Amino acid sequence: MATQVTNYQCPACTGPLHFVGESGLLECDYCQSRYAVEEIDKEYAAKNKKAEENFEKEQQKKDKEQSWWDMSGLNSHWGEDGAKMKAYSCPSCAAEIICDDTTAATSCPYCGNPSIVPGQFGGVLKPDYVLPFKLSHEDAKKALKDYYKGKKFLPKEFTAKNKISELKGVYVPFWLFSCKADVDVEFDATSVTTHREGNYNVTTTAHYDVRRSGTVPFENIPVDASKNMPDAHMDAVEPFDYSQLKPFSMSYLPGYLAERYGQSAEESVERAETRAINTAVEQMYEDASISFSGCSVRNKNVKLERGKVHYALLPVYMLTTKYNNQNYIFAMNGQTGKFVGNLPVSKSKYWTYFLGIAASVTAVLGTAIMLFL
Amino acid sequence: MKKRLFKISALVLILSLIFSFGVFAEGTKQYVYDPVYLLTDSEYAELNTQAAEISEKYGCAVHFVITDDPSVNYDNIQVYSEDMYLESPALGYGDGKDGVMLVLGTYDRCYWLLAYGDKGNYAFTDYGKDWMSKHFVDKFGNDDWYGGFKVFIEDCDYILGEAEKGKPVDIYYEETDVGVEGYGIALVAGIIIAFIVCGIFKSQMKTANIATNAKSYFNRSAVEITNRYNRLLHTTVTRTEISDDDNDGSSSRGGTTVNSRGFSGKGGRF
Repeated sequence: MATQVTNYQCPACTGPLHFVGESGLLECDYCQSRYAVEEIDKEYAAKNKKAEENFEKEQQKKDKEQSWWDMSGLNSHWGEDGAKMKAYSCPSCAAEIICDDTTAATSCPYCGNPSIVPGQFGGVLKPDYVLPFKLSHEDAKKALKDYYKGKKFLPKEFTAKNKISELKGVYVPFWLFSCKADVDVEFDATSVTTHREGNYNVTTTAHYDVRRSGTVPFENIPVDASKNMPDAHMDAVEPFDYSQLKPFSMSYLPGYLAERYGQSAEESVERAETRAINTAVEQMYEDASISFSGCSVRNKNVKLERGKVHYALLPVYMLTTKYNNQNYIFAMNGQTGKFVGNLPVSKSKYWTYFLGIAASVTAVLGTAIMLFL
Repeated sequence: MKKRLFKISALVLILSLIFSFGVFAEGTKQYVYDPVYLLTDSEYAELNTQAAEISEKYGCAVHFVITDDPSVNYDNIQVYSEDMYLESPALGYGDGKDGVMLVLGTYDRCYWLLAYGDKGNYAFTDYGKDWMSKHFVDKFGNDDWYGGFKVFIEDCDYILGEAEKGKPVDIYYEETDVGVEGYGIALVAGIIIAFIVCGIFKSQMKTANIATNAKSYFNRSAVEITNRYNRLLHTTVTRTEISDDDNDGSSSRGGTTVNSRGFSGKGGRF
């Protein structure tokens, strides 16, 4: 079987190469040689092309076979999952690598060598950009420990018994939407002034009809295109610094996992548009509310001038821990280090704090009232 | 002319008080004077009996007088009440004429509450009179005459009772109230603050949330406001009377303010 997978090997010693975020270079585990991305790109351009062609051929062959033969019975024991799996042969040890049909970069479970499936990013599937990892796996481990600090309601056993069961650096596929919002918003606003007349306080409330119109341009609103990644975690690790986006190259992938998109741009557009509309209305509100004491939206009309959509791979570390037989998933922005995740809440700690705060405030405030009033 | 009419009216009432004192001398002494007949016979009898009992119990007369004389108004009801009290032998208790008296002018809907004598002025402090008036003014304002006088007599009973214990109702009662209420307010505030603080702590435990805005993906300077339109529709004006507590603080010092004639008092409208 012609190989569809590429191992990036050191030109000096043929050891496996992987991309190191801190240096921005591909490094050899064995002879510590370092190579610029462009250098390796050149070296592997032909190999990747060959692998892409093989991938394409394999795909066509499979399609053809499926149009001639009913093979559904052969993999029926895999169920639905079987249809979503792909098998590749590792170029280093010839072992069979079975992975998700969207996997584009992984490592061989037998020899551990980073493996790239160039076909996943061939042709129309090729991302426009990649944002290289800046932070290491060690940074992610440290960030998790730091994340626990200062969490008042975190159960003690969670930190004591907690161990990272999985840590992986993933290039997550994102759609980046650019658009311009033309927005018209109508508000009910009030302005309140108070003055004293003799023995009376006189409050005058002026009621206004307020309108604001304008345009708000947005650039590269990200929506994760992965079906495997939790949306909330992917939204929460934002923002990314787009100034460091690079034109896509496979050479950034070795050492990390990568996926091609599982959700099309059409499927993701609604999330981007909702965010743009909300922010455009908020901008008009900010402008209007400065001049008034109270301001509420009466009517809004937002038209989006839809612009370019880009496809990019953005760096995210995914960490999984286990506590009380439950998995806790965390994500870290591989570029900025922003760390997010949901932690368990200790009920006993919650109520201890609650009663402590309530009692302290009551005592201090009650005494102050007694003394000063 | 007005002054003369006023004097005549006071004299008529004094004479009627003297007369009625004579009439009731054999039975219960008269403490309640209602020539206007705002009270029914049974109400009158009940209130007079209660006033008599309290007066005897504490050695301090509890009176109330109603007049519909048009010459009695908000500006002169104090002088009218004090003159009447000094000149009528039926009013007050014992040689010192200790007592408290509420005079109600129904024509101008005003009242004067006075205290006299060592016992009267000791028991009915400025704060105590304020405290009492808050109770009966609302009732008189609703033309609940019986209710107003009933609560007045009950308050007199309480105030005289406290004075007899050596602790007249005064500003420190308010402080005590503030203490109890203050701790109540502090408790509610404590619970609210605890909810807010714990809510903040809890929100730190859940940081993976779906994004609802795109604030990081636009340049503020690129936002263009093309239309700013503000049109005044109408204005509303509300006037709130500044309460006596905010305004004068007359009762904030505690004790009783006694004038040169030996009276302490408080008046107002209902």
